[in-house]
Amino acid sequence: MNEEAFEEDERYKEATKQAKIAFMFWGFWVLVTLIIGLSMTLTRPLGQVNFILGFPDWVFYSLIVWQIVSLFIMLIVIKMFFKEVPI
Amino acid sequence: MERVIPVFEIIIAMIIYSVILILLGYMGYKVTSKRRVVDARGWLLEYFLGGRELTWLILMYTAVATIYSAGTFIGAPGLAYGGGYVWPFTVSFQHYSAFLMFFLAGIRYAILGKKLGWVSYLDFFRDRYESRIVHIFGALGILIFITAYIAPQFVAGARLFEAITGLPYWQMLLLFLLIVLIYTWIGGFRAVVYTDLFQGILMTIGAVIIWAAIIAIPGGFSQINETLLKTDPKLVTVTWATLPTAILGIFVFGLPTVALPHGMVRCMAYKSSKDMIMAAIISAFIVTLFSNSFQLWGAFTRAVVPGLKVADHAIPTLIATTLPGWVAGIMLVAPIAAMMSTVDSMLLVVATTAVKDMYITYVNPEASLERVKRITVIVSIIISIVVVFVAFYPPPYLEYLVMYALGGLNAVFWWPFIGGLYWKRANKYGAMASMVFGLPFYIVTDRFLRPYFLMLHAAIPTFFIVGIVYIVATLLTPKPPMSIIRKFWGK
Repeated sequence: MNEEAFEEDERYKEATKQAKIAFMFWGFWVLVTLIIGLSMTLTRPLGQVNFILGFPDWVFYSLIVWQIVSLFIMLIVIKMFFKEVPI
Repeated sequence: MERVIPVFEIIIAMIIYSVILILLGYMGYKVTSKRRVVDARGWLLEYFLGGRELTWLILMYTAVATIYSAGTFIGAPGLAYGGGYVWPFTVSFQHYSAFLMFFLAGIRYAILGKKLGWVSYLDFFRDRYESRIVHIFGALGILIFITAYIAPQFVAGARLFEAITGLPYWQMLLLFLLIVLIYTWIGGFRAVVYTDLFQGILMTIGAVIIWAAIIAIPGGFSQINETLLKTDPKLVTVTWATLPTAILGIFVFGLPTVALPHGMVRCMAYKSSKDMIMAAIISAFIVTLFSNSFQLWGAFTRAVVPGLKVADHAIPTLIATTLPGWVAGIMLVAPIAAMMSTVDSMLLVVATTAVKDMYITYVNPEASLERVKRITVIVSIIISIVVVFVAFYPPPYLEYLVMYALGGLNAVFWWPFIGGLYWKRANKYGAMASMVFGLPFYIVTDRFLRPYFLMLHAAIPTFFIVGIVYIVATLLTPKPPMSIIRKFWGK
């Protein structure tokens, strides 16, 4: 079988790295969203809800606060780890 | 609350909007025809992929407008109307979908696309797997399911318009169809992308305006939330019963949508990696704004306009009720814009598959530039006739095709795409097995097997089980040829 080694295009290393980091970031964001949202709802008796700025607190912390925080984490991660690659 | 529908303003807004779309279509045509093209391949690149020239802002809006359609702006808020805040929560898992799509396809997909001359979504599958079965199965999937998906979008849009404004259904349907078909075929990919940019900016401004209007509602949020609490305390929280709903978003709105053809083609149409990264970043902000806004509004509307018989009317009714005449007129066009911006991309995907994947690949590989242009015209006429026909005379089984269209295509394409792109071991047998298995499995699971999967949405077990089939089938069969590996990983 023809198993000659060949030179790999180094650009793919950066591309694959970006894909991995993006996916891990996504997974992390999903997990935290779930934890925030579900921990503040499933553990409480029905009808007991606090409201912050017009939203149920669990909505406020997951869909607003955490979303915004995650956006900035995303910016930092990209700024720090992602390089430009010529296409 | 007094509901005065500003019909006159809506008609004017629709007319202006249609004219702008046609003009943008013409602009797309002019720019495309100015590009120097020497052969059929060059022309296909310009017409179906805009010459790989997209810069970040237009790239971002076209990705967002294409992926997120009426579902995000009408359907899901309708679910929030009925089920409360659990829906904004679950739908929020789509905030990073465009972001994920850009990075999972990544620079690698764009580099390979340019190097190997890809124009169609299926080109990746053709070159990576070198299997007729995979190629044709994928082509049939696109031709059948995406075509089926298009017409009902128009129908739903026209019905919605009629319900809210009283404007006649047939005329609205014909109008929407004509506008989209005209600008899409005249201007090709560029027309679609320019109109996406226009519609995206419109929606961004609209989102801000609608928030302003909602904040101005007398009684404010506390009134809204008290009403919701009184109506049904389950609306404002998540219970163990609604837990499956709370998490389905990850697999219905989040992860799988990244591999869909009409979105993914944009990932080989951009100018530079910088454009891609910028677009990915900004898309996360914009989608968070859109998605959160419309979903939360859907939940609010249950308190503002209780008693709606059709949940889908929630957002348009909210717009008509809370915004002043002219603004409401313009904003009511927004859900229609969302629908059009998804459907125009789908039309092009179907045409690309018919012309490039089917005709050129299997009928006439040496087709000349003139011939390809002529075939494209014929194909676009045929697709248009089919879409119009299906819109006015829908066949009885249509709703099943639509129901399973996107989920089914996800089941077919996701693993072969990601696996093919990143896993050297991936071979055509794995792709074949998971594609042929995935589609029927998704449908059967949805209809019969959900009780065995804790009543989870069919997309969830499908995602994992198709993945297992893909990996196992791959490992049980021979390695892919070295020539393919060299093509995809070599310099």
